[in-house]
Amino acid sequence: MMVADTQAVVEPARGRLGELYRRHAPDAARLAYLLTGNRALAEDLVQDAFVRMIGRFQDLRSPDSFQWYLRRTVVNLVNSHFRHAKVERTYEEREAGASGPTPGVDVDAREDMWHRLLELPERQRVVIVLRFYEDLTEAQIAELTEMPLGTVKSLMSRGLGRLRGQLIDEG
Amino acid sequence: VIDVDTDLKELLSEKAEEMRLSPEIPPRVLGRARRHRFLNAAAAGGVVVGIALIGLVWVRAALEPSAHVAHPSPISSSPAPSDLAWPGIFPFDNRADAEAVQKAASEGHQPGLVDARVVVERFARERLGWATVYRQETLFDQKGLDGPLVIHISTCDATGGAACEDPDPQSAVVTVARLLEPAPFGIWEVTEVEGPSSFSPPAPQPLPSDPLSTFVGLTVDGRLVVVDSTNGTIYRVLVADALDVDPSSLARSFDGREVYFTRAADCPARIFRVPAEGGTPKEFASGLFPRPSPDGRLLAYVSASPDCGGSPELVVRDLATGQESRWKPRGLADQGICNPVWLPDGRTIAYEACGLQGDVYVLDTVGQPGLALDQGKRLGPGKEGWFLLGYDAADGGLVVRTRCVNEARPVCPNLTVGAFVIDPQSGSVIRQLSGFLDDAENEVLELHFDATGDHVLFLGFLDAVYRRDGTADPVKILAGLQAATW
Repeated sequence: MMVADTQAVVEPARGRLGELYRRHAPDAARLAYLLTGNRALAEDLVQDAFVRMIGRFQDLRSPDSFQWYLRRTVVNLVNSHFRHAKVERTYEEREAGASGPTPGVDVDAREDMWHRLLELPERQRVVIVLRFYEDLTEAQIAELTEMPLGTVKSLMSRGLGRLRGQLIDEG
Repeated sequence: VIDVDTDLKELLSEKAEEMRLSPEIPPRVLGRARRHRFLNAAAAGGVVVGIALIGLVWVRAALEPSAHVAHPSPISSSPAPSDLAWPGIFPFDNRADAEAVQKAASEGHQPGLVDARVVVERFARERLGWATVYRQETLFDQKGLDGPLVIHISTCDATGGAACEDPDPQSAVVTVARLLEPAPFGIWEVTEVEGPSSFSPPAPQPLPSDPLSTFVGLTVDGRLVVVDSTNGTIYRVLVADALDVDPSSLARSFDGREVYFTRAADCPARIFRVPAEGGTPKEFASGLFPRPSPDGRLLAYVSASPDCGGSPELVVRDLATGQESRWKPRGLADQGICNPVWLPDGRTIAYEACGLQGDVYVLDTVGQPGLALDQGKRLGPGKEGWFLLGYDAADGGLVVRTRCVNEARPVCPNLTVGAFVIDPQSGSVIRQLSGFLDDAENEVLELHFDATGDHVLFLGFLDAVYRRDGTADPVKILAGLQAATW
């Protein structure tokens, strides 16, 4: 039973790695960009996420889960990226001059709000982006991020409160 | 009134549109695809071939314009770490100096170095000691403004247009390329010289005698390199065309002198051996997963993979006599054998069934000569499957990583994710490995303990290799690697 299920997933992927990448990587890159504010980093993260997906084809019991799992992997990688800032910093210092992640410098009409969003604590930004960009419910966000529903609600509330407060203060 | 909800939706939609991604699969994705064990599983055999073929076709197509030259494509928007092994000879023999001058050149301060003729003539005068330099063709006869360009030079005018005043006429063939930036601001670098007896390239830096001070890595752009394990400096490029090397098959002898690797593009895969000091790789056997024994006397490998239609036998070769012992797969023939790991006694081998169940077995190669591989002592899995990663001498156990095999959910949300040390006799968990980057996301793809068990090399976030000594925090050594081993 298990083998049959797995083959059902593996079979459509046969020779179609490129198609999977073209179909899913752009969406994942957009999500990664919104979570990091950095295009180059977003591209790297999506590539890394895709590598992990390739390694888990056999773990996927349903082809439909590919997009969901890719999204989840991107979110986890973004979290990892910021969590390991200390290690990265040491490396960057040693590499003095090597190009590292730098904040985006996009300038447009919503620049201020964009920067406010990027300045939010990581987990608050994640739940806000998943809610307002991916249109996930709080329950879906909880499942995706493996956080308790209460935590998601709390992060959402605090994040939005912070954005509202800052914008109103400035308004 | 500020409507944050509406503004957020619009903002995020607008910002998302700013992110554009090339539809082509990047080489690093293809390279990393090869590393995963499932590529060797019978159930995924087609995927192996598919990914490998796509990867090779894509990569070869990408490299086609410069496939006939001996050095990498000259222009790279994001230099790969392997470029730390700077291919330039003149005017700069290291990347740092070249980058500093390139920065100036980009601002218009080094006009001479953006002219290939000037660089070649300077090279001839300063490095070859020539008083007079003749070029025997125009640069524009050759393809591409970024190179590589092959330029013939001599101390006398080969056309006979000028009288030769050199009593000892010399000639040379010089290859130049813009290694950092394209035209018009990219500076030219001499990358190869043939001919003149007065020139010899700098001798390579000798490797440190302590094997722990270096490790062997496979870069995402396909080079097999020896790296300083403390600062990430690349000592050697052992193999420059390693795009088809299987990342899971990289191994090094315990004395650090020999490196084994497998070219997996062909069926059957081929095992090669190359000295860590450098040299010509020699084909060693057909098969996968070469693994030298702790005492250096034996080499274990898997004879074939089911993808190639062969029988995946476990082979142990005596390196002194060439004599081989073989164990047949029997019930494991369809899924194959992955990642054999020697135990310190030099006679017991653990191995993983590549298929979907995640079984790990151990076999006494001295005491169980006639056994089939599915008759070895089965250690796992329990409720979850295992990938076999290596051996931890400090704890005296095999290192495994859990894998999703039994859950009904698409992605095994209840999987106890992590790496563990297990008893090679009973399979019971000795301890869970912690303190690595992110066990929760299974980011540690490989763990390589040294012979003492005190030093760990692991591949983590964004193709980076980290080193962890004892219980200290991991230190990032070098990015851009798809495999690494002590």
